[in-house]
Amino acid sequence: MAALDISAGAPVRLDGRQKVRGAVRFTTDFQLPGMAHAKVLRSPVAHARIRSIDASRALALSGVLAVITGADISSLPDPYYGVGIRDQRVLAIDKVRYVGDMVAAVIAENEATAFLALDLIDVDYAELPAVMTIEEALASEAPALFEEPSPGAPLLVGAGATSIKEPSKNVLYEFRYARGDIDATMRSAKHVFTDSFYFSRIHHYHLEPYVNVARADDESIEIWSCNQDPFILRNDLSRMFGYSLHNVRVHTAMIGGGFGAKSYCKMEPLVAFMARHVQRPVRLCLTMDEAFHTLSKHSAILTLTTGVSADCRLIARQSDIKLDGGAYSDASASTTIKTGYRIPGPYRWDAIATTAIAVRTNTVPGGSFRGFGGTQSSYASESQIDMIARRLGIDPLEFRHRNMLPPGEPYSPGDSGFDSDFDAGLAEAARRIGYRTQPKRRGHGIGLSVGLKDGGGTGNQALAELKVSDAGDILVRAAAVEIGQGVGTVLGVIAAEILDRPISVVKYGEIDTDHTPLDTGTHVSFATAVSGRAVEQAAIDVKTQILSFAADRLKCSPSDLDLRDWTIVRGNQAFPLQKMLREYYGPVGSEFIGRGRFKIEYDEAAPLGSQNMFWMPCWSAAEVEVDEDTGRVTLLKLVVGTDAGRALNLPACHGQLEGAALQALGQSLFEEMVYDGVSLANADPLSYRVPLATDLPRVFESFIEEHGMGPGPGGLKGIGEAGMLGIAAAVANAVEDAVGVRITQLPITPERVLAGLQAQKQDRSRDGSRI
Amino acid sequence: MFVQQDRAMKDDLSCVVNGRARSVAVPINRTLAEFLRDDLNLNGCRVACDGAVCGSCTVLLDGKPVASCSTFAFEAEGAKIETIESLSEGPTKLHPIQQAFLETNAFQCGFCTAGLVMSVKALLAAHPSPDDKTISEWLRSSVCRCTGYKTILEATRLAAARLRETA
Amino acid sequence: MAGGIDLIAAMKAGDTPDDVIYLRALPDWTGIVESGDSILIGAGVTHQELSDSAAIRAAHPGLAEAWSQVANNRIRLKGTLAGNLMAHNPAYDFHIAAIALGAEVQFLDAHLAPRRLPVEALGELPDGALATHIVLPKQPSLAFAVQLQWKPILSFALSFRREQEQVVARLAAGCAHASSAFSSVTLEHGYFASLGDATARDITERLCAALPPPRSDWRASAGYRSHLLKVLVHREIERVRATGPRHEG
Repeated sequence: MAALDISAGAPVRLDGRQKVRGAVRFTTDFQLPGMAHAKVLRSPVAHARIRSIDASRALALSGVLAVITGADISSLPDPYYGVGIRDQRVLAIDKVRYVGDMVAAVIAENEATAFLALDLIDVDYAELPAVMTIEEALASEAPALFEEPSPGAPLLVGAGATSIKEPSKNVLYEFRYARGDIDATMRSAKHVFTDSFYFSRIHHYHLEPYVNVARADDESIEIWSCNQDPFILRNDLSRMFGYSLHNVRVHTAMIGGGFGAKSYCKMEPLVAFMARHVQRPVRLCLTMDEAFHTLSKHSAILTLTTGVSADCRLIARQSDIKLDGGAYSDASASTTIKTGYRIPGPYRWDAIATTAIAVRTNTVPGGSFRGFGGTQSSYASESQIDMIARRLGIDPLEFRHRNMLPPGEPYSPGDSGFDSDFDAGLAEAARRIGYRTQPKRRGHGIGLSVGLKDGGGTGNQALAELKVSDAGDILVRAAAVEIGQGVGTVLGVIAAEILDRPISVVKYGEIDTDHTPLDTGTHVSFATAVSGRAVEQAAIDVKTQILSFAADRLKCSPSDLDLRDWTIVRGNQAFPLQKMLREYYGPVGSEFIGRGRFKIEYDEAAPLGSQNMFWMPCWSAAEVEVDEDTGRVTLLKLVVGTDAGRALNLPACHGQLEGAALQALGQSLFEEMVYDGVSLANADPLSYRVPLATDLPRVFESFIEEHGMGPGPGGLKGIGEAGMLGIAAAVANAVEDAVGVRITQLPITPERVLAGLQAQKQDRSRDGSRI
Repeated sequence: MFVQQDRAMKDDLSCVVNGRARSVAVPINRTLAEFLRDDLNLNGCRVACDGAVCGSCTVLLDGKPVASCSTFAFEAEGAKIETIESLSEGPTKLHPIQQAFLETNAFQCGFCTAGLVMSVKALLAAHPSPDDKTISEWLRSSVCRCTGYKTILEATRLAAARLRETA
Repeated sequence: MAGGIDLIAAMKAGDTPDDVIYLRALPDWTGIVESGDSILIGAGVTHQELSDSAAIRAAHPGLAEAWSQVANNRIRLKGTLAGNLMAHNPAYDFHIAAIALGAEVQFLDAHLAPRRLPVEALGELPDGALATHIVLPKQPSLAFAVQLQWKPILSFALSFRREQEQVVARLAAGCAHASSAFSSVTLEHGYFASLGDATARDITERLCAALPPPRSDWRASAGYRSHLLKVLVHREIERVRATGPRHEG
């Protein structure tokens, strides 16, 4: 494998100049001549049957072209979407299942007319009782959100795991994983601790709206979409409309923030349907308020029963996890699998038994959110690890150190080995926060945590293509979407290094499913490693072709030659390559096209159905001060670190890590989507608080380790989600260190901390009065 | 704007945009963002929250940062408007603020970047040597979901220093 | 419309006003003028103009200082104080500062006659009233503080002012309540000068007890808000103790 050597200074991002000049053409800027505009009517009720829809008044409004309802989209060969389990309809057909559910769509000459027409659609709802929480949905008397089984199938899993679709009323999906003898091991434990944790719901708050422009007829669709998984979208549209794959064409520009919100179908099938219906291009752009009503992060209740041996080894963990999947499946099944699988954390265990379910409630669907199950699981697991250590009177860092899984050891039987030194990274975080270097004082505390997720995804694949001109300019074609992570630059560096070209000659091609080779989506941080390997192969392919061409011209063997600085080198002779090419091919020259393909193999011996490609740590350390009169937690210092394997663009790595960590910090302290009855209380930009520049901790430090063991070129691996994972537990652990109050529910608000302090005072006075 | 504009009265709007005098007949209920994007094709002004909260649509009106999504176009009558497009003559001739953002990687997805750069321009015009507290308080007016703000603070410091040098 | 921010928000939600009158062209609209023992702030004055005003900095430095950081930079530069008041939104900030300073709104009623109302009585504004000025007393406060760091859980402004021979403490609470909540406590002459720990607590208790109970909502409970208000008000009074009143009583 070619050693990757970055010359002094990080590469300027390929998309940098465009972005600082405001010159990027985002999908919001895209227009087609004759384009019509759509708006969506959303359910004002949480759970109801649709008795009738009368759109006659809307249709009578001048400028309205059509109104689409569930009756119209039912004519599709397959009007359902979702990941694995497909229970979401393009528009509500017989029922609405949450406030915000899409009921009808208006297409008009302009957006304002479409918006006004919404008020003129009369929908007759027969309301049903709504279930707004996991507990309500699972109660025996709860109404069922779905009366019939949904299309689709449970996701495939492997050894030790089970995957069940719709096991019971209001349970979308169940994942189980077990190894070892949980009962015997738990019985043999010296200590057994059971604790429950409540993880909150937040919104992605991507600044670029959901926006799609489509044109379609009865055999083809062309769509310009903000979706971050163009080939998954193509696949879904093909299936839903019954069109051949090559008659569905997806264009994806750079995306103005996704964080998982733009993965998998959202309203793209609806836009395509509308375009076909009115025989004109149609644009649908959602407001931020609508985005809040489209997708959220799964909230969860996680109950962990952990057995510890006499010598303070973690030996058994039984976990009961309930995710709030909201009204529709979206990515709930895979999130459930991942939360369930990651709950053991980066530790050695003798026995594990996990049950994780996604519960259906009349709320906004839960779906992909950066960290994807790793955030829920890390919050619970790393909180409990700390709590256990304190209860046993052991230093939390020492306790983790004793139980950490070392590099090389499989995460679980059949899975890949750890490719980071988790222990070393935690030690680094502890060093940077100044762990145990100051005398302990009440009100001041330090908390550590090691967040974990697997990376690369299950069975993912990426193809890549390079087009290299005879001048040595490189065009990289891959379907990894630029969502802010700088993927084009990283893939460009991989190609440039192999072909010994400067990054300045690399261009990352626009994504068009007609021309861009396929991949399985821009998520689970796989672009750097998986697409990276494909690009690496493509670059090696080009280099091989170049040397073969030159060998023909020079009548020698390719192994006699090398390519340096776009010159063919043979011993101490140098032959400029472009000249050689033009002499042979003529004045227009030629180009080289190289191809690469990388696929993570399915493996039924691995618990998730394929071995995990890499492992993503999040070493977090928080130093806090707690104001005991108000309960306010102030972050004096936050340290977050991860392992990039090998960092090709170090500033970009720091940026991704810090950005994710601040998102997680917001969720830890104040950010939350709150339901007030059946409606969201704060689903608008003014009410929904996200971290601002003044929310930064006083000192905020990020570090990138390079353990070099990752599967990508040069030992690299992805880190895009890392910063999300460990922060919440680190803050909760710091608060307990500071004032002895354990908050097991996010966000860690001043009110909750104060309540904990007041309870503590009462306990103490009660204890005192007994003496 | 979700108010019918094809039926609204039109009026001539005369202003200077990026140094160029413009006179366009626009519906009176048009927002400044719509005027810039749809009438003048200046797409650097990004509409994100559409509610004057996030700052992505920030442009300068007589040197002051305004949320163009929540400003009527007619409020620009007789005024000087500056958008991100006014800052550089081309990809290789960046304004010092843009250059600083580029060098410190003070961007990721780029959707908030134009509004932020214009906001920083207004800050540095009013405070050529801002301390960290001033920068932080000013940047509080813009939401960035990607970067975690540290690099944006660095970019602002760097730009301030460079602008002072060339002043 | 003045700054227009609230109007546009309403229009995006579906309001379709037939006529919009753009008030910026009116004379006397902007400008901060001293008049007798008052400072007349034109209804078109922005938050930033208030903060930058020499007259305000002289008479109410705490207000000028606090107002340099209110809301965000776009609203500060464009939003008007009158617009802020007339939105009748407890989450907005100016009403609490205005009430604490004993401000009044001067308006034209439906007969175009000028009248005044204390800001705490803004709910009694007649229909069709057009605010023209905000009237601040010119006399500086003995102490003044605005607490906006705890929004949206609570916000308040606190002042100690000399009124005739007495010292009056005024507390105006903002977003913890559904509408303007205001209380005042009259202190005996000399009381303020000898502000000890017990009296600080006493004033806090009396000011907070005289407010209506805060609301419970998804942001915070009434119980927490009550507790927090007391803690923060007490801290402000302690700060006043430590730094001393602005003018000896």
